[in-house]
Amino acid sequence: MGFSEADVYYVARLARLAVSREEVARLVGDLNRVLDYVAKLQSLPTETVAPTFHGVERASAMREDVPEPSLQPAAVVAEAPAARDGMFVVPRILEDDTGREGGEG
Amino acid sequence: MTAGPRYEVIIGLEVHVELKTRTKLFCGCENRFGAPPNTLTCPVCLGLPGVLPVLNREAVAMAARAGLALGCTVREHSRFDRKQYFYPDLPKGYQISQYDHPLCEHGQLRLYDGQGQYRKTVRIRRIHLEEDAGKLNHLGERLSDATGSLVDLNRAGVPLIEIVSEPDLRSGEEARWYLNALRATLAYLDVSDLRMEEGSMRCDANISLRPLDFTGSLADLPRVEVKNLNSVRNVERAIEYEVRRQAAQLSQGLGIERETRGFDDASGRTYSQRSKEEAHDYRYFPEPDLPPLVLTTEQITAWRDSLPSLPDAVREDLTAAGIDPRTVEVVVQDPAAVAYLWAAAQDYGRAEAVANWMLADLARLLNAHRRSYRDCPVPPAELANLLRLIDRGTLSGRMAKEVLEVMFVKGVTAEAAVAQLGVSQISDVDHLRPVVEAVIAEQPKVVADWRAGKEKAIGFLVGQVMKRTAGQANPELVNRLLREVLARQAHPLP
Amino acid sequence: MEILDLGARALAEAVQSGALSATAVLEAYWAHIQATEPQVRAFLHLDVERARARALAIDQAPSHLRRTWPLAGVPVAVKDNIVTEGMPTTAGSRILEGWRSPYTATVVARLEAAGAVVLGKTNLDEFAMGSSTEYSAYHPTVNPWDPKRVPGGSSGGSAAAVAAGMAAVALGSDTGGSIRQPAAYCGVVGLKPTYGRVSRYGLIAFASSLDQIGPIARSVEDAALALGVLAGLDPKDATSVPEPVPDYVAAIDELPSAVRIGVPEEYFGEGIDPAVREVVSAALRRMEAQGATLVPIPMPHTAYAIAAYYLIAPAEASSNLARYDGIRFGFRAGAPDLVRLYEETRARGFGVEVKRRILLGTHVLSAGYYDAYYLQAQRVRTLIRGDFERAFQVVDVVATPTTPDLPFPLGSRSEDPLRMYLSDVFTVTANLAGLPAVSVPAGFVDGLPVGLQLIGPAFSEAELLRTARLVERVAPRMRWPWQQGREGAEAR
Repeated sequence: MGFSEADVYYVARLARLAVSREEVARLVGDLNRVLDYVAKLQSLPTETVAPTFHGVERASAMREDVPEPSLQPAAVVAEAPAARDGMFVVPRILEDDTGREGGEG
Repeated sequence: MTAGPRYEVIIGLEVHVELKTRTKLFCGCENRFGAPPNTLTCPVCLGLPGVLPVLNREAVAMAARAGLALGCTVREHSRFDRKQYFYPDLPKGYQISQYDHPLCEHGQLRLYDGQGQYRKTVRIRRIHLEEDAGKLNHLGERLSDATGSLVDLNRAGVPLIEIVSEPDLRSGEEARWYLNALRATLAYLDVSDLRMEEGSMRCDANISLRPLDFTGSLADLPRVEVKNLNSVRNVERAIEYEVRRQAAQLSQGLGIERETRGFDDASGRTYSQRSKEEAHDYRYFPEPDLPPLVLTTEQITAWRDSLPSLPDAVREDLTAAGIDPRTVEVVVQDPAAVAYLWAAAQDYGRAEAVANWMLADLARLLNAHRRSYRDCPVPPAELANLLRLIDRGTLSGRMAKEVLEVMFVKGVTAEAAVAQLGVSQISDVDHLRPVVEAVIAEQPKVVADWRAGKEKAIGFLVGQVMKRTAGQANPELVNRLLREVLARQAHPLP
Repeated sequence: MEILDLGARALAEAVQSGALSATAVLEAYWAHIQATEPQVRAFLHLDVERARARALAIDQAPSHLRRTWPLAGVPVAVKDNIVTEGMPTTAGSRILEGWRSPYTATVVARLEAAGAVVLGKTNLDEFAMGSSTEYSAYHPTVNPWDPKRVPGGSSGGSAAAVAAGMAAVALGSDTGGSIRQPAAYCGVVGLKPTYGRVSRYGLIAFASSLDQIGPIARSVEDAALALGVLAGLDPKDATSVPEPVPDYVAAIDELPSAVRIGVPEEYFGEGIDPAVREVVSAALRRMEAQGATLVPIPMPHTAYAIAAYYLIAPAEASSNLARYDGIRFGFRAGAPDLVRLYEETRARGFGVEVKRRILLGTHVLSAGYYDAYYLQAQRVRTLIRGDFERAFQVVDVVATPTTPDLPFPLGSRSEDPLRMYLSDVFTVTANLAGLPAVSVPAGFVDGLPVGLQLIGPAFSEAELLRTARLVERVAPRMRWPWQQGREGAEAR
């Protein structure tokens, strides 16, 4: 399965990772080697095999709807690279920055 | 005159409703509106390294009960998935949602118009449980010219249900009926505050026009999604605008682009936000941190059996009680109003009179004071007392309105309000007769005019009696007594 | 008696009884760390003051309480992808440089509640992605048996710390072999418990459906002691299970009499260093002589395990690493707008191997590829589970080499990611199947340790450790690195 430079740019954009031209050339090689290797899975017939998505085969445990203390406000932003009025600061959001369709919900 | 429309309007709605659990969906932080920024956050809802989600049992119960009330099948096995995208209000870089195994599927909702007339049944495709995102406060007037934004994650992780209809709606009006019916049903379940202005209920509308000669699948029609509509009225307006816009495009021979649009409240127009070439790749996959959600048949049955009376049944009961269908349609929206009505009607006897007073006067007071039937300062028994005072003639209708206002504002009984206002209507014949006789004795000329056939003259006499009683006499009674006394004077008893 | 020569159990018993103070134990370790750590570089963070305060608190506690603490005074090291309030947690990445968690992982809280003294945080491949600890963003760690060689990874710092005598027990995490492979390379015992046996709350996630925390120790007994403290349901981890926790130390008191050991030929074939194979085979023969039965078993889907693993793990990792966005914590690159902030923060904050896996994982989940890659890999995972289920109908445990090779020289492997991935061939199956697996020292080749891996049915840790003890009993011994050159030191 050929994985092109355009594919690298596409997934890098999805993953919000800046990649340099040099990196892309190397990544195309690395990723193609891995993808060529994993292609061996395609030969296994699995139509009747259920996937295993979870590490444990049991139903989800649930918690009761009982409040627990939240963090102290100072602790919330203590490690933030930029904070103001107890909130995290982010720079300008350009129209096409919105990760989801239609922007904020 | 041009020919009629050559297309059919196809609308599907996606409604997000915040559940009013005590805590968030996956952590123990309080689920509460209006707290100072980031004071309701913890490592889990902040998405710090190493944290894990644990599902809130009550949120599952609320979502399942909503599904059952909307006629859905609740799956015994459902699953959570990660929906991935980057945005500052989404701390983990993914939203835990349900993708291909939602909790509820295949429901329906009956729509009634404002006249209380059944109009159609809309199918509900699915209801799933997911977490809400946080909030951004933009530094600047608009997102486009903001210099930055501040992130508040109090709302991040609040449980939401997303209710997705089939594309069965055909107009903005039908969308309004649908939202009213949906809101009423959820209100009866008491699972959400349902405040669109606070964002606890939000609506996206998918709108497309199907040419009448189009025979393909609806999924192939170019669909416009209008996002984040914050009132029922705006849903209707946005749909109406969008239908006109798309019809104009089609009539000019232009195609409709599949896109996401926003709605501008001030201008009443939709505007393009993002088009199809920027289509999203959310990379859904099953959430490995949450094993499948498994519910037992017994649990689901127990939820179904414990559902409260729902709007359709209540509508029938109210109609059977003789209440005007238009009144029913208003009252039925609000389960607290229904409970109030039944309580007052049981006390007073006539549901219709109670309903009329609720709809006209009590509703106005509730609105003006931003109260609801849930915390109405006039208890149902006192409204019944007030109505009885009117029936006895103690109060005129006009007086009763003033009395009700005092009862409402001061939180006092009907009798106390009457006393405070000093407005009790004098309906006591023994008290009024001497006044009537005195007025007749003082006004021989007017009496003569009346006897001469000047009917209007009696009005002057009534006025005089009212004046002497400081307006508290029952005018009808005064009128009757005047005629009685005058007649007796003309034909003295032997 | 040299304090350093005592195992965790012996140390705990001495502190419980008052024969040794926790402070004396700590000071002995601290002196040794100061002499040894500059060469080994197993730690990313050491906090002796915090440890001294803990040791003092243990010494000052009422003796009736101290006697109940199974790890009283035992010096432990914690892999730096496990969060600790009051100490930095970096996951070996620049993106978390200096980050201090406002909460503590469940496993660390359990260790401390059991009387353990946490010394510091150990080195690892960035976000646990690697097999040599060379992908740490900070510095490499060396193998205490041969400082020119890698300690393995990703829990290389923890394994090296234990092998070098700088911690009696250390915590590791294992997603595809990250406890067992460094344990094998460093000649110590490393246990990956059954998925769900130990809470993951506070473990910085790599691949959530595969990750599991476990102990690295000098002996099977010490691993059993630590597991007893770590294991159990945690309400903060919905994938942890309420299975009862047996007394693992008591369970291994007796050696197994007639254990049936499955030997899959797929794990002894091509690609394995013959010297490694010979050490493992010899150990198995000696176990047979002690009453064990060796049963050849088929594991036909082993050949697909690496492929499935290198689809599932990067896919989950790409999602788990999305939260490192420069907004709420950690490194942030200056940028004029949001997208550039994200892209530059992540480009500069993550190292090359992490980026490679993020991109691979993003690709395999993206539109049009999910079914062929991610879904297919999860179906193959079911087939691999099936191989084990069939095997456990006829055997009690499955035995394999832990690694196909000996510890390799530093810098010799980093270039080719696929080659590195293939060396996980024997360890990934236990993660894919969610099964407990332990690496036990089986012998040496030219002074370099070789590990034997035992894999058991889910929640069979007690039986697994009992068999591991048999391996330990029959394996040839050498002096620990810190004992070498010392006159009259006890051979192990």
